[in-house]
Amino acid sequence: MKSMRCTRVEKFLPLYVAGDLAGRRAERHVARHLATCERCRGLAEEYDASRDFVRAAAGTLPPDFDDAFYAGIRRSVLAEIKREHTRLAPPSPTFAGFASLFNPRFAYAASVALLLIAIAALSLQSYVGRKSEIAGATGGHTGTPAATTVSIKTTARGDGRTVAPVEKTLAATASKESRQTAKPLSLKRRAGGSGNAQDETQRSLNFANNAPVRARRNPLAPSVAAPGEHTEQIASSGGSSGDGTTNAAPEVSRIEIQTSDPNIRIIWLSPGPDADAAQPLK
Amino acid sequence: MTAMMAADDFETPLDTTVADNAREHFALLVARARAGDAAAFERIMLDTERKVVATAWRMLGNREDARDAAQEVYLRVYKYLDRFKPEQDFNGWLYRITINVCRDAARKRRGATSGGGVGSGGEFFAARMDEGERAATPERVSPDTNAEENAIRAQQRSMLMSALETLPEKERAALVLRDLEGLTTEEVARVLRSRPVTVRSQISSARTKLKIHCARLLNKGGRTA
Repeated sequence: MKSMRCTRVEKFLPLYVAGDLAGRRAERHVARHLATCERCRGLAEEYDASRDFVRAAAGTLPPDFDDAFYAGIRRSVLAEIKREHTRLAPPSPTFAGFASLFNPRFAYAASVALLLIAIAALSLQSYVGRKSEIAGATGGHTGTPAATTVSIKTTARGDGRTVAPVEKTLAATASKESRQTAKPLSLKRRAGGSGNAQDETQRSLNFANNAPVRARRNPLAPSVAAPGEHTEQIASSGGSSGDGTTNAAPEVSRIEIQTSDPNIRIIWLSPGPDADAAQPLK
Repeated sequence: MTAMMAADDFETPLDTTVADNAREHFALLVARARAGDAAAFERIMLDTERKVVATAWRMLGNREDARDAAQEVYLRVYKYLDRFKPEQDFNGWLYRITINVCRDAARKRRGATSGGGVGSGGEFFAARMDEGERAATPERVSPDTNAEENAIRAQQRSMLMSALETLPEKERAALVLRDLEGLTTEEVARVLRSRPVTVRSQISSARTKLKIHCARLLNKGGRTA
């Protein structure tokens, strides 16, 4: 095996002399080199001598580090601890827990948490502000919920009989549950036929007036009905009702959402479930 | 002192466990000291004070600074008893505190020296060394000791301390822990919160510098590596 060069061995010698080389392989190489190289062997002896000198000089403490010296240290420490005890409570777990609040790591974590909370609060504030602006643009008032108007109108045709018009007005509430009611709404429901001349009737139902109307539940009614109010029902189509109200054709729901801005109205037409059922099978 | 008397009462079963299981021994003492047992804390000091003082003296170079550092070490130990975990190596924890205290003391000393305009750190160190060595003169030690031998040793110590002073702080700490305290490279790395390869490099550099320095001091004209 090829022997190491002297320059390389010299780098290893400070560790080799105390057995601190990381690998046994390197140790073997250095030992083999030292067996043949007088110069490096002399250098290794110098390291040994230096190490021996260090240990001889500082390996033992000077004689004035006697028992009195150590007793003095203990006395001072215990006196200091006693003095601290008179000022502070003993290191109970509670005190330690309190003291740990001033731990730099805890302070860092707390500051990060506070920063996150501040960012979240700012984001929420910004979000609420944007919502208020939108509400202001649609309702004319910023930050105050506008009155909600739910207008459900049903158009029926066929026998020409008039169905009492349904109109519902909801007072807006600021509760979270009634987010939809915070927007002015006007729902109109229209029962329609298949395209001939229609005897279109609009009806308005005042919830205060308990008119005897046999009706089917409007699918949208639960989402817009305020708590405590009774649910309106609209006459079912396709047959005669018990109170004489008859609709000749399946209903088509027409939902109009009237915003506070009189110029903006959202109209949604959808066939009711009965309309689907009335379609002839093909 | 009542605490010391209590510490003497402590001896029986614990002394036997020191050699068998130092970790368990110190875990028990720490638990008792944490509960407010002053005797247990004093016992910790009794068991470790020579190690702490020796390390501080080797790091700082004189008796007075070593005493101050040892006091500070035990005050910190008491302060942070709650942070010590029973599964931890108490000696490693203590060495770490000692090295940190010595670093703080050296930093403070350097600041005081530069602020007071005394001169370089080396000069201040040498001045303190002289004080330390004067304190260790044969007149101060027991009369039956060999005065000549003490004088030679004092001179050797002085030379070594001035050589150690030339080393960077981290190299000195690594060398003191490895060559004088007898820790393994891995243990030194744990104490210094470093990697073994880094510690090896520091030790290698420190030994080389010390060899050169000692060779010059001893006027041997040693070869450089």
